[in-house]
Amino acid sequence: MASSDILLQVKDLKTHIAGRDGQRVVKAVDGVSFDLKRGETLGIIGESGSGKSMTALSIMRILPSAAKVVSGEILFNGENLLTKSEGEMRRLRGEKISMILQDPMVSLDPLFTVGSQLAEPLRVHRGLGGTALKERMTELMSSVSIPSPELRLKQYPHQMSGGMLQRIVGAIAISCDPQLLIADEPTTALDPTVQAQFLDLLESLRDAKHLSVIVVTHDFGVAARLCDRVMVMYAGRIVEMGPIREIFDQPRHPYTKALLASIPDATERGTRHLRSIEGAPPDLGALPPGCPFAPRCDSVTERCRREYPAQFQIAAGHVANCWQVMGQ
Amino acid sequence: MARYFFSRLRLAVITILGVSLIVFVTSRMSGDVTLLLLPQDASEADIKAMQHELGLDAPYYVQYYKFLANVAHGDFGESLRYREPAFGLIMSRLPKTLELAFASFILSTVVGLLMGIIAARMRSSWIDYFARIFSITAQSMPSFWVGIMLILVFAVQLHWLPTSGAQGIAYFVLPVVTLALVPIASTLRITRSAMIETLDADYVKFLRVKGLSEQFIVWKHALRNALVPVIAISGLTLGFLIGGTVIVESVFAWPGLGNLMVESIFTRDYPVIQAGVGVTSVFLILLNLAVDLLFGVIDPRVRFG
Repeated sequence: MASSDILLQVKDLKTHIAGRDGQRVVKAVDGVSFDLKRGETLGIIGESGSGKSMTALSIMRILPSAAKVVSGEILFNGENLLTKSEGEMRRLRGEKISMILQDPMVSLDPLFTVGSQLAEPLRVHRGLGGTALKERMTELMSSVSIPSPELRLKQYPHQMSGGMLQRIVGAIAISCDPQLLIADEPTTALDPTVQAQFLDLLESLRDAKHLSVIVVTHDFGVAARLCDRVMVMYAGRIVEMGPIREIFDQPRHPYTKALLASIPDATERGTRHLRSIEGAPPDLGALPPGCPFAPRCDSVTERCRREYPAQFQIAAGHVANCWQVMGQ
Repeated sequence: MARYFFSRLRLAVITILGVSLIVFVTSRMSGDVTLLLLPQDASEADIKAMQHELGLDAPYYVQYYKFLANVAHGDFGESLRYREPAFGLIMSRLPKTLELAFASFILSTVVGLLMGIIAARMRSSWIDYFARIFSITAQSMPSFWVGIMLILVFAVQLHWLPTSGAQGIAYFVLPVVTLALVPIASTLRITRSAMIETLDADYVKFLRVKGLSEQFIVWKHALRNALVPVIAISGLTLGFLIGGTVIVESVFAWPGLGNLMVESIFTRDYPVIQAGVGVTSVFLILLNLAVDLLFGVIDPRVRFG
């Protein structure tokens, strides 16, 4: 594979959050490495607190002030984003790398019209103004299927529904034709009926604009719809990564298996309760020495509690960090 | 916006009526005016005659109606001490008080906002700690004491500024600073917490995603959002300032409404007290109406709500 096929390369990324007392360090992202090819859609799956959103924010470099990337490299088109100045980074944000946030109802400034907020990146990155700006804005609104765009541009966020707002957020995110779009739980805050619509939209935008996409989600359904590959995160690390089909059909890590088993099945009648994973995610400020999933794992061995599992290749592009996988 | 305006206006009218009732009732509660006006040895018949002359023998609702009708014409009665219309007396002193109050309002808003924004942006730095200590200290010091201390340092010791009076710009400095100290502190605290909350909001994160500069985000988006709660308390601040001038004016011998009110209370000059309370109340209610309208201008959710 030629390196120019690769848009984004994350190498051993570690993002830590300083505790309130300045003593305890929470290892939110603890040595994450992955590649993203051009035009590819990668899913990052995990529970809340698994580090999936922190990974996304590290790439955008818009981490909250207490969080810091402590080591690693993030190569975007071969250039390390972590060594860029804030000014250089700002020119990339919204222009080459963009993002959709979880809750559309709070993603836009309530005091400004939707139009003025859509205009901002076009003005800053493209220097558009006057009729050219207006045309581009109307075109973008139509591309995310907003009816009567001229009217909507003059309205305020509180005058619109969540589904419509998320489409507008989408329009703002792709306004400057970015190469990479990160979608952080893009449908979690939406009504189920609107979720499917938005996923359709995301898919058609991706195909039309040749976007590379990272979808951060806890929902395997969303991942299955959009992604070519997924990586499953637990306690700040990747535990399994592979093509979406393989992960679905042959999950190897016990955590992935448990996650898949906990998806409620609408066809499964008579089941009284939802299946869940026993226990709670570990405290990221005080991780045990071995595998962080060991306390909740049903096939745990002595070695798991002692030593963090190495990464084992299962098939081409399919890896898992689990001692169980070794030698199988 | 029109509907919002009229609903606020209606509330203002109701509040003014409420104030008039309170002024009316409290003035009756303070005792019989005729006893104050007549000599000690006045006969029962003299008192009755006086009461009739002043309309005090009429039923309360008639009296209230007459009171309202007179007040509507700006007639609060005659000052017992100065023997001239109380309303005119109040209006002649009001401008000096308003100068003081508005100068302090502008100072406290500008300084409080700037310090609040800086503290919020440099959260947990020494500047932030300084701002916090400053606001607690400023809010805990009584203004008469602050006024006296400022006079001692800047007028008596350093001779930089005059001790009292109102003969020019230099005379403004100490009373305005004294009066503004508490509202600076409260504006600072509210701006700081509103700004911190705003800067943590998701829409600010999304503004960063768009590649906008931090300056642009702070001064265009975050400031406007943080202004909403600041404006919400500005009506209270103005009330505090106009009421607060009473003490500051007497410390600095400022020829304003506050000083007149203090004198009138000591001499039991009821018509002047009533006129003073009435005029400042109406004034404050109108200011609060203006603040409400400003709310609608800045926040579309209020305008369309």
